Amino acid sequence: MPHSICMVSDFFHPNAGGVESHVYQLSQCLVERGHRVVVVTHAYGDRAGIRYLTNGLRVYYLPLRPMYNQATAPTLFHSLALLRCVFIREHVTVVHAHSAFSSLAHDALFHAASFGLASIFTDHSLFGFADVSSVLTNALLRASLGGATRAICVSHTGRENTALRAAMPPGRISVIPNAVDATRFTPGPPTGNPDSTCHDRAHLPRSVDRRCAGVTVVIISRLVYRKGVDLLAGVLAQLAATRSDLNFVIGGEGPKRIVLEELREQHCLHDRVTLLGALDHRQVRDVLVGGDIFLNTSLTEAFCMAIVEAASCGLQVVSTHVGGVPEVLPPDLLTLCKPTVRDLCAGVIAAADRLLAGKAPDRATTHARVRDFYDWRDVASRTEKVSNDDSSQNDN
Amino acid sequence: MGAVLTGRERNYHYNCALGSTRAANRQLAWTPILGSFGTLRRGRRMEEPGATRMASCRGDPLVFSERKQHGLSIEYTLSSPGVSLSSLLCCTLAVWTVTYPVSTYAQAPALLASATVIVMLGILVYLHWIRVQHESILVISGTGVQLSTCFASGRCDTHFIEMDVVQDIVINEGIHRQAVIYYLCVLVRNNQKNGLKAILPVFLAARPRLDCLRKVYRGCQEILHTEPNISTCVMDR
Repeated sequence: MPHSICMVSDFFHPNAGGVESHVYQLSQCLVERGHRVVVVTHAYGDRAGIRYLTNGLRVYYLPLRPMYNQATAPTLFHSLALLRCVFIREHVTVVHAHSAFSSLAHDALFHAASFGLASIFTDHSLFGFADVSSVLTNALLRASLGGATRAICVSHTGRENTALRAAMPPGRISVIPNAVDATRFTPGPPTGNPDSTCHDRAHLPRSVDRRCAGVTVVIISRLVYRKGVDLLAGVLAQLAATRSDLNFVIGGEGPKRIVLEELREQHCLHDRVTLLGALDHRQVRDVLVGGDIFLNTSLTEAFCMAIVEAASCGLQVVSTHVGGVPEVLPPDLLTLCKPTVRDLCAGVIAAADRLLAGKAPDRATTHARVRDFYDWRDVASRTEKVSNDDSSQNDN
Repeated sequence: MGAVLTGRERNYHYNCALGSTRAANRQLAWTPILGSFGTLRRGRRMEEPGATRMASCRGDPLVFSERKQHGLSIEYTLSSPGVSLSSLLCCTLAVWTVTYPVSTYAQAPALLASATVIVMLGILVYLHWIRVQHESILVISGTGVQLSTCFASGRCDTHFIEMDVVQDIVINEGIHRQAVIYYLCVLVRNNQKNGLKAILPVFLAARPRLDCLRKVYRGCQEILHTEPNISTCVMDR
């Protein structure tokens, strides 16, 4: 039975990120499966009102003001009239809210419960239990998930976390991993990508284009505390001192960039550590194929899309053993390390040695394996099952 | 495209080609206001043939009328029920009943006088600039589109857009205050650069529902896409 699904999240296009692309891809695949999907988010600058995206996906940019970090104020009632209007005119049967950081999603869950609509909540991140912001968000989550009939988490670790935080029966929480569009992350020279223009490549540094004698380590993440930038600084310092054949390329922007710049100044690593700054979606693949090892130093991660993208490009992946990371890739494609400087250094050195000894698996073979792991269409069909269960009010 | 309509957007920057109409309207503007109450009560247009009852998106009653001429022009008018004398009297009376005891108690007759003056000025401003009585769109084949708004006092704002800058007339969706509404708008082309110069919403005060907008849209499209044939026009006369 086709549903009329309303995706609600504060995070959506034109911003870019994990949740944004998840909502977009999932909506497109659900439209493809014959459902009617609308997306509700808040206005971004003068992008207010109603817009249409590919395949007639309708997006309501409600004129609500973001309060902090692109999230609207959690007042519960200032979005009521507009959400009610959208629910009624789109004949919504299922409300699908995304991300615990999004207050609009919490509001929508609450209103959906009061309108008697089925509601699903997808949690994209892990939270702690001790610091003030976690305690507050968890309290909010407990209140809003009380009304939600189902929750979806992106990994089993995430499911455990959500069950504890929101006091929700684990039977009502499903696990549906994220997916990665593997056709966009293929191994091969950067020139192989028809999307990338000469202009894009000119932007890339010499060390990415040149397949030099040494080993290039790529790090792509937002440079924030959660992504373990301080840990990364320690690893860089130690590796640069012990191994002269390692080069580093770091893509991404964030408040912690200053830590890496300081490190580069202190140890005079300008020729070996390249900071690329914010990257376009299209540039990510070109930066990835320029490297040999992908390093992820996240301190918490529900599902790490970056390591799947890197593995899909055929890189060796070294990551911290946190959250849902071990579930994402099989052990032979992933080197897991404890989140300490010493362990991560050992992991990178082991990977580099394997590469130099010629024992690393072929890039094309790795890509062929990773390609079949995740698919957005599969995510959509599994989400559909949850919606079907949900709308028949068939709780476990 | 999907604009949020805030307040009453009247930023029409077009030279009024029908200058004489405007001057005439300005003379009409100060017709005795009190005299017009009786006639404004319960929309005059109801008697016209082709007038139908409609509702606005808030559920207020509207009177919708259509005037066609030789397939060369079409005019749609939406009228809201007139200002009732009793509501104005009630408003005045309410202010009086509050101000009279206060001014007697405070022994300040100036208070009563100023309240009376303020109420009168308020009513004038309301009738002359705020309360919209009729709104109409007139599409003339090969000539242009005229949008006019008549206020309860009889003052009319008329704006004419030449046909060579009219790109299209479309129905759009927008968010107005706390509701998602449909509105009809005239897309004005920018002749210097490619693209749109402005989106002019029509029937902003009446805000009719989609069924009404559909009728207007079909009629306007028919006229927009007919080539003007002067000879038939002359022969018909």
